[in-house]
Amino acid sequence: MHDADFPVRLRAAQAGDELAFAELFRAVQPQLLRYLGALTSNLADGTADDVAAETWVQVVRGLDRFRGDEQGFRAWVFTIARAKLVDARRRSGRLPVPDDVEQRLAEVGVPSAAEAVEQLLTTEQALALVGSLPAKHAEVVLLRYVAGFDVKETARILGRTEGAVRVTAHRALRRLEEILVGSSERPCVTEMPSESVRGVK
Amino acid sequence: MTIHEHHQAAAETSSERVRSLLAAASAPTEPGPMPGEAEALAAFRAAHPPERSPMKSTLNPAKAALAASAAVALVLAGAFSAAAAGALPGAAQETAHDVLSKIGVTVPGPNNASDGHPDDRGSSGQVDSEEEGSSPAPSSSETPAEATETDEDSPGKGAEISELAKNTESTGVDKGAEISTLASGGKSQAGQHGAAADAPKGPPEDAGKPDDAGKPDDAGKPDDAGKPEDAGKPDDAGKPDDAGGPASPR
Repeated sequence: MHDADFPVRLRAAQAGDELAFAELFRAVQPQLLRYLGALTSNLADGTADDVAAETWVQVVRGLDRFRGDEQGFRAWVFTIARAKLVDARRRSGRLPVPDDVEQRLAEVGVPSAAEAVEQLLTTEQALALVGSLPAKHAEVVLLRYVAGFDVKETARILGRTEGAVRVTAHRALRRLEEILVGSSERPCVTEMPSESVRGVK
Repeated sequence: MTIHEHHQAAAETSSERVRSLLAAASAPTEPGPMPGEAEALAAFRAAHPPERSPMKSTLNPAKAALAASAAVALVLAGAFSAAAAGALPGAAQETAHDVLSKIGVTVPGPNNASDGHPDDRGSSGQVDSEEEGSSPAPSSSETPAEATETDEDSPGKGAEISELAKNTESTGVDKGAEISTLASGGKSQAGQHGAAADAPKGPPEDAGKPDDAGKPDDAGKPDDAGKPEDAGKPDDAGKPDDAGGPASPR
């Protein structure tokens, strides 16, 4: 995750070196696509790719002005992506969260909660489970444990306090645990309407 | 903190199942081009054209615009000064005269400083009759050749003079006077002051006089030009201007 050559690559990319920019892109894009894919699974197909493309266009425009280290660069890219994601949701005009999480998980081939206990999940299945969480929970899990940001960076990207991020992360992990053990308590948005996807800003 | 360290932190509060889920969600990707890479690189190329990528211009855009404006102002000032002084080439001066006159600025026309030369440069042979009538008559200082060239009636006159020189029965001074009269349209007084042979030798003031030096019969007859008795005379030799223009008015 940490690249000692990042400052050199960044300077080269800012000077117009396409190869250096491609390396920066490849270091961020996998996590970015997972983040966007998990949060747009209820939107039109290709939304994650479209939002990612818009994000990189914005990154290219502001690359000359960026100053910071590798984590700062990644946080900057995700911040842009999150803003683009909010725009995409506004454009879609669709209610983002299904009311039947188990049915959604079945659609993407995620094993049942009982089965998941016994077998390993694929990346797609794991992301589908995370994406089934309320949006604010999913965002924190994706940024903290998929993209690898610490609490401070996550709080900065989300525009929230570090304490709020810690609390949300704790609740999100507990909810994932409940899903995996087949708890009768489902992660239904009706329980926490303020944290639904519509609440993402 | 790495993702693994994050997972370790999550393990403190989560079960093995949750850690497995998070590990699967953050599994490494295959190396190589990623989805969307072509679009991102296209955007990058559009923002960084190849010609400017190696180095950036050190010139501030504002300074560049200022320098360009100053250069344009200098050029315009120079052109205006040249136009005001009438120093531009003919066509440019005429254009400047026309354009500036429309905005109330008067600059000399293309021929204001031409000292009477015709507007149509290089076309003196096509001067129309009106211009000819208004132009001053050839002065005595002009050479006979110039007078002949500017004479509209002169086409064929040389041949006529040559014919006269060949066929006339007159000889000597009379022949010269006859040819001079024809060539000058009657203005020549050649031969009225005596024969060339009677002219006194040596006076410098007379040496340049056409009627003394001219030997019209020799000058008008190309075949005779090489006669030793005429060419060898000291008072005739060395006056090529006179030899070629026997009809110079006096």
